[in-house]
Amino acid sequence: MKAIHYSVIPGNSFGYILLLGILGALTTVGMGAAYYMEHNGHIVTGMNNQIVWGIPHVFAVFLIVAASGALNVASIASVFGRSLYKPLARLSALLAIALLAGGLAVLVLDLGRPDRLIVAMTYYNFRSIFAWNIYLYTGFFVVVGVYLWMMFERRMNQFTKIAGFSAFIWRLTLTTGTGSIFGFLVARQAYDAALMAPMFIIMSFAFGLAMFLLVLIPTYAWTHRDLGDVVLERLRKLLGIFVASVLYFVLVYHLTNLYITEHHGVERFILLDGGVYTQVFWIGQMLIGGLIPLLLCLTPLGRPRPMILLASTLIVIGGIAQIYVIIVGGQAYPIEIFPGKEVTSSFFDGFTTIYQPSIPEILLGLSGIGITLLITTFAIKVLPFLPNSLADKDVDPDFTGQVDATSVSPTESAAV
Amino acid sequence: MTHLLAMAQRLAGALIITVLLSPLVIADSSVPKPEIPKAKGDQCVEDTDYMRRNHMVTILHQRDETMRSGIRTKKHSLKNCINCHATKTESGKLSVLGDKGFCQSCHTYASVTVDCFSCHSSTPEKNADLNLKASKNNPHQAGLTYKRATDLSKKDKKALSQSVSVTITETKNNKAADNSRSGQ
Amino acid sequence: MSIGRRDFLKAGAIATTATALAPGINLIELAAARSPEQAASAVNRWGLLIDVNKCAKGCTACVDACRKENGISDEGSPTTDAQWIRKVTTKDKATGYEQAFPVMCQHCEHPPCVDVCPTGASFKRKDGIVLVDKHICIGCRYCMMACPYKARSFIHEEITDQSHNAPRGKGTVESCTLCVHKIDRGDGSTACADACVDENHKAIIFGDLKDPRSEISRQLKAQPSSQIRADLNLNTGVRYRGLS
Repeated sequence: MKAIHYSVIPGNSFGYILLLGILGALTTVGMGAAYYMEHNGHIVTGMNNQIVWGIPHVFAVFLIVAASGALNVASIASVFGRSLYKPLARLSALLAIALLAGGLAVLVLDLGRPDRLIVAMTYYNFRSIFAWNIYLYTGFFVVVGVYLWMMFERRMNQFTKIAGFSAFIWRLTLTTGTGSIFGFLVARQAYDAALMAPMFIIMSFAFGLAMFLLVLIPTYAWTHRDLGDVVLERLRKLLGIFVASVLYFVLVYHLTNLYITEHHGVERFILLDGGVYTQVFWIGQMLIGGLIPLLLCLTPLGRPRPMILLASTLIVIGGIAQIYVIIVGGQAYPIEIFPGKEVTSSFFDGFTTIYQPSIPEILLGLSGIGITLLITTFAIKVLPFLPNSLADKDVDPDFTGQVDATSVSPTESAAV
Repeated sequence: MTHLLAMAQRLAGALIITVLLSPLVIADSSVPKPEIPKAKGDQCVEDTDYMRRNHMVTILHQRDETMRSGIRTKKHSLKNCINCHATKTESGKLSVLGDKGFCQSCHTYASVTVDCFSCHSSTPEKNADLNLKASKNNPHQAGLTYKRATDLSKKDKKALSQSVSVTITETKNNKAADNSRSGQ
Repeated sequence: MSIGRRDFLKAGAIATTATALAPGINLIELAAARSPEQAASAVNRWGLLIDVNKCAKGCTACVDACRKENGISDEGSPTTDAQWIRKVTTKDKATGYEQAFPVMCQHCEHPPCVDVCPTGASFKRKDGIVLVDKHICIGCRYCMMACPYKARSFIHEEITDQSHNAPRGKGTVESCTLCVHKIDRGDGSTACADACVDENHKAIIFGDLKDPRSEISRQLKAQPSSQIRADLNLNTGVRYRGLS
């Protein structure tokens, strides 16, 4: 295999400036929305005392989960020694940092008192999973930062494997922490399941890889760099396996609940008569985010690049739908304070809440994606994250001169 | 060379002018010092000088004592501050806020945000009895001369260790009592 | 060491001796009001006993009293307005049997809201009262996700004219304080309990669960009572009688 050469992108074309402008505008608008929410209070959002976490949390959790998954490509290269993925490791780590930054920005700006961020940094309750996560998130920046340094600095290359391994362990822990935010909640019927942690990990694999492909393919097309079919084909199939795994976890989660009578109410709500939440589950999560991408990733139908982009986009939409069902759907179903009773009160006990997100909170959520892509777009101009070429002949250790996209090497199938 | 000299001369000239004019400039642009309204009573719970510099520390300490332990001594409480220092605002209401209010006037001058009154009432209590002198049994009267652990005298240390042991036995007994009483 | 501290320790020691004696033979009254400089201690655990059968249908005296006492304003937005105490009506799905009674923060011994709070703003005082330290609450609402009783409210907008009894403001979470200001003052009751007595219903008894001589402890010992979601094992400080 040839040595890999990385370089910055020129970043002086009209298109590049335009892209920066659009992403900058998206971010600015989101910051404005956050200021508006902070100034007026959460009364200007659709959130209330029934739906306490809304759209900002959906976007934040999606981005944080995807952050951990975006590191996957780098982990396959460094931890599992697949040299085909090695040239992608830098971009993978960059995207992980950028996604986490975007997600955290949204999460923090939605706080009731974002001005007290310093309090969150100085007062800790170590029984709180949130408090653990503050460490896990900041630590993630450090660990992945060090990992990037090991990859960038030739003299440090020998430590890449150990740094990559640390980052791999760290991000598994991080996603366990994110899943446990919900898994450790005894109060609500939809949560309180240890399965949440592993399910979030497998979700992170799918969401992160989808985001990675959504950045990789356009970047290489727009900068006129070669991107071979072999690496894309492997990533596509990997994505398919991840989507299948997510579906498997969702199936187990719902089957468990369906078996346990106590959970029949919430299952009926999500699967049958929850109105918008049922629709988001079946159409958004299962069809758009599950079955269609599965078809595109595992059959020849999805081999063309537009189809890979389509599959990745659908996975992102489906992922956001899935987290919407978990977070908002889980709250919309009333807390069972009195099992076996119909409950009414002035405080909406026993009442299914319809959440109507307002424009500012949607803008805040979207700005998380803006921040992520802004960081990525800027970073590839100032530091050499991207290999000059990802053409098959340059990156595929088994390259034979023929482009045969369907072949999967024995080593590869082992990795999967 | 002459060019450089000329430049240095000009620079020096500019400097001198700036220094000479500076008092004028400062006087012109300065924010007027706030007129701090007089409070009720003869004197504050601590020296005025101390309070000017450290009132936030005093209030913060009392805040945690009250919030966490339910200690509600009046001397350093925010309510006590407000009861004495509230003045009539333009709307005729008694408050420590308002352009000429005790808290706000000075905080505006110092450009420091007051975070108290987004939650706390800025008006005095209706039946406020002014508490200027601290009660005799108030351990927080010593709030200004708190000792660090390293500064403790032998006597203090002994007392402290005793207090710890007392607390432990208390907890044990309470647990036993709990069990016997509520049957859990 | 100041006199106050020593006095406090002495009181603690006496309390210890008192509790160590056989139940019923107390030398001093433990529930006696603390002096302002004395910290709340684990000698007490404050709680409520709510008799569902005595709670009158349609009566909201306790709710109104709470709102007045703590200055809970009506901002005109039912989904976002705070409710520290509410009247809940339950109807048995199988039999149709109806009950109505007040629900507020249950002041758990093991409060999930305290566990999940990242900054420690949600805390339990030594005497069992669960509170929010709004000075360090960052408004993340994780406690609202964790509370099995839906007892907490988030303040969604700016609030003015707060009561001196209960400071509260935009962007923080709050819930029933068990009228902590009254307890610290030595009133020996809560606004809701007082109001219920005024209405002559006497459905709410306030008292010290750790003092066997208190009205609440004697009532609890004499007759059956239950906790809401007892299955969660949170050991609530608010108990119910007659809850079907």
